[in-house]
Amino acid sequence: MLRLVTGASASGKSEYAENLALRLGERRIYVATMQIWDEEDAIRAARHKRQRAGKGFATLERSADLEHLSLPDPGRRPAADVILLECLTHLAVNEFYREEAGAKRRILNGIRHLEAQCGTLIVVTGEIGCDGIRYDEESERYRRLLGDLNRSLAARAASVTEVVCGIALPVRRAAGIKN
Amino acid sequence: MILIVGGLGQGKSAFASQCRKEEISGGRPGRTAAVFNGRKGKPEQAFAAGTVLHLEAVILRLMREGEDAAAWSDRLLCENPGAIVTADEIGCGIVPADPLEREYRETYGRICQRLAAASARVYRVVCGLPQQIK
Repeated sequence: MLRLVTGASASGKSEYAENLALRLGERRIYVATMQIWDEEDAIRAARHKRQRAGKGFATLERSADLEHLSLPDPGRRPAADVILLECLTHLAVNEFYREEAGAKRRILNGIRHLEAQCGTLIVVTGEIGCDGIRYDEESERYRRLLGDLNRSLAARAASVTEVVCGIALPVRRAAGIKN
Repeated sequence: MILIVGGLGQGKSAFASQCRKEEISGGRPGRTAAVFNGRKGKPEQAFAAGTVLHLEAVILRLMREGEDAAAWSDRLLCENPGAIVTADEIGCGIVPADPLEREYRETYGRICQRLAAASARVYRVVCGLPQQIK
């Protein structure tokens, strides 16, 4: 099962997604996709680590190529109750710059690969198309890619939730799914 | 506190004014009818205002002046818990290239989360239509 969580930067979507994961099962894996380039990134990653400390996640750092990510404990099925992928905006940047052609296909395959190995996959994404600014051509292609990915995932997700100022707003929910 | 969020130009200020009128007619006059405009008012004036407009602007001004914006928002919560506050939603674009802009987005987002958590009611206004989200 796939669940999608979206929202602005610093809206509280990560914390919401972590707490959702806590409710969905005990064997939890956190896939961190942010590539650390500088001190600011390191500080950001450290803040996320502090935020999820004590929540019982096994963390895997993987900036791209989720299609070939092996999970710990591969003998067990499923390999985890819940996998939290944080977040799609970084994964999309990393795949876009790794090789733009085929980026969407690789990302969606990677997500399918994780989804097949757990009870619930939670994907945290972001809204990057609402600031009314036109960027350079390359950035616009990236924004288009993320928009495409968000639409593809939302179309088949059991729930889509937008977080606004720390408040979770259900955008869509399949029958029987709690927020 | 009542927090009213939404994009630029969605009708937050008009809704804030309507909220204030309803409070007054409902027998809850509040401390003052004074309106603080975050685009130009002195930041400390917000602590005594009934309505605080443009939170995004006052936070940006404080940060540009090197002031502690989070401490200012704590004081607002503490000294003016009955205020009606409007705040633009930002953070739905590409990560800005300018370091201050990046820090602003993060700090402002967290301040909005904190005010929302402490507010009795939170509204989101889209196309002039308020939706109560808390």
